[in-house]
Amino acid sequence: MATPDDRSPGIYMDAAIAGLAVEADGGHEIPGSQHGVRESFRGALSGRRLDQGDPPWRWVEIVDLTEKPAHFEERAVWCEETFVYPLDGSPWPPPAGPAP
Amino acid sequence: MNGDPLHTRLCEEYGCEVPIVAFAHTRDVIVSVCNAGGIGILGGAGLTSDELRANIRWIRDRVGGKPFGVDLLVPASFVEGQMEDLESMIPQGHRAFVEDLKQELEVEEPKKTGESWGTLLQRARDLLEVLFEEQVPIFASGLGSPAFIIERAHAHGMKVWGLVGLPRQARRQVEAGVDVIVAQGYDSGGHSGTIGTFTLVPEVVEIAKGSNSMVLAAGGVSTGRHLAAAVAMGADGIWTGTIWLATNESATEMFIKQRLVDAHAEDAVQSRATSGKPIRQLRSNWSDAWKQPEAPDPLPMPLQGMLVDGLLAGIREARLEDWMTTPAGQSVEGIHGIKPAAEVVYDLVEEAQEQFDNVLGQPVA
Repeated sequence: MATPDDRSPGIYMDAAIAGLAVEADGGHEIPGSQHGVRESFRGALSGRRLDQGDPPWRWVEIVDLTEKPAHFEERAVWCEETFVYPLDGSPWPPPAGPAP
Repeated sequence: MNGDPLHTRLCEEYGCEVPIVAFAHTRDVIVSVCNAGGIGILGGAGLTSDELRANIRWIRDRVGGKPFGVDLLVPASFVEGQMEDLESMIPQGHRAFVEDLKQELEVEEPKKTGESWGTLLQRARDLLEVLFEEQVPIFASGLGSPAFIIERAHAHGMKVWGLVGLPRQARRQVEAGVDVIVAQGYDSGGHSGTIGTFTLVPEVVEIAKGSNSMVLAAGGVSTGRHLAAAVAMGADGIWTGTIWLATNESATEMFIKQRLVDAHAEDAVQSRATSGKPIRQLRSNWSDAWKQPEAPDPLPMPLQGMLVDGLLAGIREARLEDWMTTPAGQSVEGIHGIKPAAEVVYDLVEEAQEQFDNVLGQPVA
């Protein structure tokens, strides 16, 4: 069951994946530089998802972070679904939700 | 294979003469390396779509059909944040430390920079679109590639390479059908993982065994001895970055080139002082200042960048050379002079062949 999040365009809630324990390999460009950083996380999926662009680039939000990079002080991180790994071996990636 | 250990599968499949890959932000380096028999990969991060397209065409016009590529930092994660909230999170003590530095160095008031995650994702997509439209032979992704990008690149006849720092990442990239895995160890410049090159490369080679994916060794690689060792570990070649900064063709400023020549491995230090993320870079007054006992611990990203971006811009503008730096790996140890890029390629090959000769007791091939 997926429902749009009215406060954030493009973001919707997918109750089917909420609470799933995962680890993930993230990373991003360091703003203002020509360099990037790779980072690993472990936590639980909030159920919030974002599909960006066409073809869709799919993101899931991870909260309750039990493993994160040193000095990472955010409450949550969005990771691209290709690099998310359910700890219980659940089928992944999940089916796409409806267009938000 | 023709009996020459340096004629690897990379040479067979890509048509390069030697298994040497150069990552550089200067297009002239890319052209020289390609024309010397290696493969050049242009760092595309930080370029606009128009700049990237112009660089690709400029390179293509000069390499005569030889393989080359572009590396992009396609984001694999991001955080939501509001700049106004973040400003209030910078402690007064940090502001005072930076203010003191600013007055000591007599540089101008900082300028603010920032990019929302929505803009960041769209910019990455725009750059990818340029690669697809231009059908660049190789797309290298420093942070991994979503499946839809790999599929689309392959549909355009492009090869996809992925940089990894963990065996787990390598396994996922092999499963996703990435053509070349660049196993990048702790010694490398910029952001590096936690596993050393000598441990990581054989592990990734084992993971890729039996698949279609090749493996390149990266991190701390700057001599022919490293090239020979990489091939002996089962890699199909080497991925190098720092050594090209000190070539004639590199746009790196001359005083930085000379510092690279003078530096030793221990001068490639990890510091969070620039962005809040650990970046291996050439030691400078900047990295030293943040290690002094009275210095505060650098803030997490993005706060550290918000705190110091302007001061660093002022330092560059005022050309305070002792305070300026460049990302660099421990491979600076192997840089002994400023040379043409082609000469670096030839030296790597000659030295690697000497090593094989020494080990085998007779000339190879």
